[in-house]
Amino acid sequence: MISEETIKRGTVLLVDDEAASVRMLSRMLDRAGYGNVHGTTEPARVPEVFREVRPDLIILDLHMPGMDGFEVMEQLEADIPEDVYLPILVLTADPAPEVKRRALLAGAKDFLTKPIDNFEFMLRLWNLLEARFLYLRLAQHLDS
Amino acid sequence: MRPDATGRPPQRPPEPEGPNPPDSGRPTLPESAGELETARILIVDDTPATARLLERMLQRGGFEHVKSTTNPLDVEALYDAFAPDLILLDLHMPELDGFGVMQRLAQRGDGTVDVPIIMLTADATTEAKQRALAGGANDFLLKPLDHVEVLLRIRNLLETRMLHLQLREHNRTLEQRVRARTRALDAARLEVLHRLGRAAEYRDDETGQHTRRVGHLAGLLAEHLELPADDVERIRQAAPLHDLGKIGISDTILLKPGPLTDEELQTMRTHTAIGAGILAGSGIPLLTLARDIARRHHERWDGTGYPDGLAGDEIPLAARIVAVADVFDALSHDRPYRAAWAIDDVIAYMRSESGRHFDPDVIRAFERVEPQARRVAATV
Repeated sequence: MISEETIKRGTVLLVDDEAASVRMLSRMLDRAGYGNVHGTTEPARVPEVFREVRPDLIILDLHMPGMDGFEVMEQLEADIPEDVYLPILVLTADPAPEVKRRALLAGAKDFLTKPIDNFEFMLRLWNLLEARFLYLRLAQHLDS
Repeated sequence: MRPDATGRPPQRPPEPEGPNPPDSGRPTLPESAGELETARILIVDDTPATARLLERMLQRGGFEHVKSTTNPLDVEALYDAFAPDLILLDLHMPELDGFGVMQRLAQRGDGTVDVPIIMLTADATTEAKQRALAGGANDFLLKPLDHVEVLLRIRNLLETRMLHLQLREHNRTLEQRVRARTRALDAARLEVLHRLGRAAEYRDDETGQHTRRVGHLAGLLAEHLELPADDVERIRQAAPLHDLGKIGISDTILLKPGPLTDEELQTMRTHTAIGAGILAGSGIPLLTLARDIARRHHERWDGTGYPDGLAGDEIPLAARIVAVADVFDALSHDRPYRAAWAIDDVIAYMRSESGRHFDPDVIRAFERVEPQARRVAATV
């Protein structure tokens, strides 16, 4: 029901304090045909960037100095109403179940373990964006 | 998603206390938007221990309808009987592996399984994952299974499925609404047509009975000629407009209580062209058909009719049908210039004109509907 074209038009926001990581993920997305990718290395600026680019999906590094991914998600709560489906995919080098569970409780939809496997990255991205666009279409239907 | 029959309120998981919430051993995940826990989940794994483990994980995760099988050959039957919302499918099984199961499921119906499938595999290579997805799986879980991951993948795919189902339901409602509106529009269009027909006949057929009877009989004839139902209905609706052009004929000619002079007859005959002119240029199939009927219903099978002397198949079938219905009805009722004929005489005349005035096929259909035609003729 959701075409590849639609999914690849999805706006993706990358948040990682390491510029190299943002660059690498951007490249992976670019190669896969995603055209609307924005990145920031400053977690404190996420709410501001969020309002500016209106992403369909956020990819968020969990471990950042200063402000970690949990705090970023907390900050975003005001911008993402509970009934809005805006998936957050967290990146973590720590595969401990407890970390995953905390991230999910904080609002993440799914996670990826670093180092990132390209295939798995693309799959998570696709599945979450598909749900996002289904949600948007449904919301549009309910509005009209 | 199936509605929650119990109507119970969603259970919120306890908020984590501090940065490291105690691990109770029970996987807890944030509550999802819908009633995902009422979803039906089918587990397919040939290792009984794994199937049991997954079943327990899901039940602890709050899922109420979980079924498992260790026999991949049972999947098709379970797919029908249990109607799962999601399938957890082991890749490596003897007899029939996960790919085989997906293939069997995909071969049913429309060729795509719209129930999400999560492949369970110990093979972490990209090639294996790619194969699983190409075979129809939507996601995969690596063994050994991580319970948080298991519940999370299930929840995400169920959420997507729920959105799919809701969207499909909305589209269906929307389509129904569009269809209802189209029907209302069609009905309005038809009513206007009927009233237009009435207006045309008003001067010499005040009650509109003639136009109605011709429509009815034309429909019956079309039916017995075994035309498609849509065509039959269209002919029934368009036939009453056959004399629309009479609107352009003066009272002195139209209502003259005796035979017309040659000149008057020529004028009278222009009602076919006038009617066709009024109905021409429309993109609506019904009006196009009505135009053909108006223009051609005085043509005769043997080519001696008007306005153009068309013969046989050159005359549109609908017009050949209406010619029979129109003449039959005119002869069996009073006209300003003559009294009605006896019904037996009318029927004998119709038969005698087969292959002359009328299409023999239409007369054969007429003979089959003769009892109904007699009843139609007997109505005022």
